[in-house]
Amino acid sequence: MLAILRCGRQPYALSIQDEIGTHGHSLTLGVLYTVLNRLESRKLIRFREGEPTAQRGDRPKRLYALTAAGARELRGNLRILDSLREGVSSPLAN
Amino acid sequence: MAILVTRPPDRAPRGLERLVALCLRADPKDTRLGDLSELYLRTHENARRRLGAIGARLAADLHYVGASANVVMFARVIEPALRLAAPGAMAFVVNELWERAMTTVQMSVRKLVLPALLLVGSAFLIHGALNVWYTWRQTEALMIDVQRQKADAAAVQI
Repeated sequence: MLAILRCGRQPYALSIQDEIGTHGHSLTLGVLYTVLNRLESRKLIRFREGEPTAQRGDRPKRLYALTAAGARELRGNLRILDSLREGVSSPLAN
Repeated sequence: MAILVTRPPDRAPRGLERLVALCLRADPKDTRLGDLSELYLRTHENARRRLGAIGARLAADLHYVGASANVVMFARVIEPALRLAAPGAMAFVVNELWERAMTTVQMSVRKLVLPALLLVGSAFLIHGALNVWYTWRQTEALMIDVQRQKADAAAVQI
C-alpha cells in the first residue's frame, strides 16, 4: 500500500513492483497480483483502467489507488509500527 | 529475414500471449497480459545492449515464459489454495461445487438436451406432415375413383 502511494500518478503492477524493488525487496508478479487482489477484495484499494497502449498489446493498465478504508488501515498499522520501534532505536542504529 | 530478426519487437509474441491467456483462462484484453507484454519489451531493451538482437529476443522470451509461469501458478494454484485455507472455507467449497454443478447442468441442457429435443421434435413434425400429405393423396385418389364409378354407372344407365 505504501508502494502504491509512492508510485505517484501511474501505480500499476509493474511500477509497484519496481518501487518495491528500488527499496531492496523483490516481489514476483504472481505474488504481487495475489496481494493486490486480496487488498482489493478487502476494499482497501480500488482500481480503474488506464488508456490502452501498443506496447501492452492494446491492453489497458490497471491503476490502483487507496480507498479511505485503506488509508485508515495504513495509518493505523504505521502507528503500531512506530510505537513498537520506540525504545529499541539504539540496538537498531547499528 | 535479417530485418525481421534485428527489428525490436513492439509487443510480446502473440503465440506466447495466447498460450498464457489460455493457461490463465483470461480474456485477451486482460491487464496482466499487458503487464507481461510490457515486461517483455523491457527485458528485450535491457538485454539488447549486452546480447545483441537474437540473444535479446531469446532472453526476453525466456523471461516472459518464467514470469508468466509464476503468474499462472499464483493465479490458478496458490490463490485458490489460499482461499480454501481461509476461515469459512467449507462454505466456500460447497458454494463453489454447487456453482460448478449448476454450470455443468446448464451447459449440458444447452448443448445436449435442447438439440436432442429439437431433433426429436423436428422428426415428429416431418413425420406428421408426411402423414397428412399421404392421407390427403389417398383420400383424393379415393374420391376420384368414386366419382369415376358414379360416372360409369350413369353412362351405363343412359
